Amino acid sequence: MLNLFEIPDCIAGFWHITLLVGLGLGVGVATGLFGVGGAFLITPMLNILLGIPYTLAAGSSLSFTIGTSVSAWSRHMRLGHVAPKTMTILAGGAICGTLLGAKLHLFLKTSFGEFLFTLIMHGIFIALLAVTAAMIWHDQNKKGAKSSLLARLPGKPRITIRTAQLTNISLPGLCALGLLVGVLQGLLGIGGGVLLMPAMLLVVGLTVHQSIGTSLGVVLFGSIAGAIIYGRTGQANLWIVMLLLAGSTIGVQIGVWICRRLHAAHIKKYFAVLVLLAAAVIAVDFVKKILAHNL
Amino acid sequence: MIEVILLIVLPLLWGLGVEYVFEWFRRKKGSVDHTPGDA
Repeated sequence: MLNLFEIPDCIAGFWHITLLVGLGLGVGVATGLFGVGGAFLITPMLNILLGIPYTLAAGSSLSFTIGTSVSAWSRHMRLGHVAPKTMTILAGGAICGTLLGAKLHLFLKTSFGEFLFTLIMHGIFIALLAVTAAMIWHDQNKKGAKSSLLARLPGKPRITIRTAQLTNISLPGLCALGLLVGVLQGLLGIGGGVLLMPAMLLVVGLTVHQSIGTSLGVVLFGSIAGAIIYGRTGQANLWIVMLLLAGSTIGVQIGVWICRRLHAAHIKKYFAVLVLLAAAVIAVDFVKKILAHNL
Repeated sequence: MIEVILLIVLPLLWGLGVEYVFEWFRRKKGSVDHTPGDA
């Protein structure tokens, strides 16, 4: 078990530290440009670029997500973009889901061994990124569509979300959404905002700004739960977290600067391309690992 | 246990600190948060 303060071998060299800060910077640019946490890029890239085992990468990535999401969430809170009732229900589901996801992560690791487990995680990430890219594309082509799927779902009790002027929302459906996002957080070490944000928009029916503010709160509380679970078993490292945060702080400002100079309609297209590019990098590593194992 | 608390508290302080510093700069420059309406 690694001490949280110990410098792991995989980041002991100068170039490794530079790569880690650079990764934080790159993810920070994506955060500033596209408004996503970027942990869905951090976890697989830590494994591929630095050879950090998935479990340590997931724990560190969840702790990193706390830093990025709290900053943006506090800002959205001040602007009144958070639907408190929705956030509390989803966060409750997400915390429970994170516990399940982390258990599933450890179960898969012990059942299949490190090599097969890495391949499974690579596969899940490729599928997740492909679904995300499809959702972004679908959302882009469906401008102006605003309907609540949760209002059409059966199941009692039903609730009203006054801040979003939504009525007859299925409470079990909302809890299930939080639980699903939490499982992904715990299993993959991602914030889950990349899936939650479009889900809030299309499934719950919140406005764009409420979706962003509320999903950031859910991501924050789910990440805290995840960081506690992974941290307790020594599967997170403060050096990795702080180096990533240092890079991302600068990257976010660069991303915001670029965002102001880009046409809004193009931003989503670029985001979909980035997500597909990340999926391609993981797929190449997936094939490389299989070929290296057979030789 | 202290390590786990630091794993939560340090990123929280970092995130809030960064937000506080940038908010201070925004106020100094006199820029106001603008929330465009949802389309």
